[in-house]
Amino acid sequence: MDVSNREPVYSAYCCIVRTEFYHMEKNIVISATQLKNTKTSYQCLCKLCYDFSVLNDVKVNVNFVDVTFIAGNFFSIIGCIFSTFSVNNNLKIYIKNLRPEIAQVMVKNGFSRYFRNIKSKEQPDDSVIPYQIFNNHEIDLFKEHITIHLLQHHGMPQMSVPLKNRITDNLLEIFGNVRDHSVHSLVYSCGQYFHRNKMLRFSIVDIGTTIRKNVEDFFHEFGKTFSGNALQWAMVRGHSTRRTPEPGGLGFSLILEFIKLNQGMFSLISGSEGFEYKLGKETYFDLPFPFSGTIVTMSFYLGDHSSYRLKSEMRRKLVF
Amino acid sequence: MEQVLHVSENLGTTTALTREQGQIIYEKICSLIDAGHMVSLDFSDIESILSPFLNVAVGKLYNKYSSDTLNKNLNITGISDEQYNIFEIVISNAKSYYKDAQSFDRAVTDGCDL
Repeated sequence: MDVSNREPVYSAYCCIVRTEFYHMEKNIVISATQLKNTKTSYQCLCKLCYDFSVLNDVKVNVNFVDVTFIAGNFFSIIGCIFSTFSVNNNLKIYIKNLRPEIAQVMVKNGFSRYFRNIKSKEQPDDSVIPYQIFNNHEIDLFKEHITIHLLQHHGMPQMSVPLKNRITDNLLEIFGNVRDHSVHSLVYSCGQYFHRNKMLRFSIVDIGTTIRKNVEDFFHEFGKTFSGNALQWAMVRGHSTRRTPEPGGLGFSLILEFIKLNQGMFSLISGSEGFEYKLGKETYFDLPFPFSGTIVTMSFYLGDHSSYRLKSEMRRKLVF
Repeated sequence: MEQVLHVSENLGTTTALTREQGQIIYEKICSLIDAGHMVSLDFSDIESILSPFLNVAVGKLYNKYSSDTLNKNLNITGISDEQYNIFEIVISNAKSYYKDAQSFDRAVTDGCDL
């Protein structure tokens, strides 16, 4: 199916209330050939976010001519960018030169419903977790979503109860983080299961405030200036930018602890900073263009049948 | 006298996820301990327990009570082996935090001035 040079499509978000006097047109070409869980791919989408952020009241043609593959979870990032800036910056977004196989993935995960004329032959799919947007207070709806479309998905392999529970809790922790730290954000999610390597990849994205901004504001309240790596600071157990006098700051460290046991992967992008845990190695890196929010990608190895119990076989009574 | 506090019944849900939910349980635990009761905090029927909830429901107790008091008056039941670990981490984190709450906040910002 040829999807090139189709009629212009529109984002459902941009047609709501804005007047449509678009005198200028901007063309943006996606530079990566594959959008998957690599630093290069994140750099590409951060550039896209930046390119959108500096535009106002224009038609934007996003050209996917060179893109041969988009990992399912990356639609949460693309959707977040398209949705946010179509509304906030009054952009009219057109997708150009989309390959049929990518259009097919968009239909399967529901991303295509925001665009006219992206159609594909219906095929049952056992690997995609639907693209979905939540208000940041809808944590119960999010739990329901991952229960139905991820844990009970007919295409997922059998998972042990402990693994299912830990995956659920890890995803909920991230959602809860957005809720606690990014007041007016929408939360974008999407995922995919890769059968070959038994990896479930799921991304949770928001555009609101960045981790760095939160950390800098927190330090400022103590009359100090933060000059370090904000993600590194945020990953330390007990570090939290919450203003209420209560303990906190466990989310990222708990998730990373589990991911290491599970032999999974973890990526965190916020502003111009990035972190990746992969194959036993932790890496912090800078991005040439900032992402105006936070992207968390968790990869869980579903071939893992560990129980995640304490090393000791004896269950001790909790000591306060 | 021991009072059983069913978390799912008190929250009206099978998930214990948010700080706001934690505050509900925290206040109930405090009112029972202050009334002289021992509390058995029962998580049966709770499917998911997150750290934001526990930080307030259990961690915040250290602001008001000593470890001795909590060991004598609080018992946790109905949690899985996998959830046990997160409780220990929350307790340890809370103890560090309340050891000297002001110093804790200063300590996490130390060493980062320009």
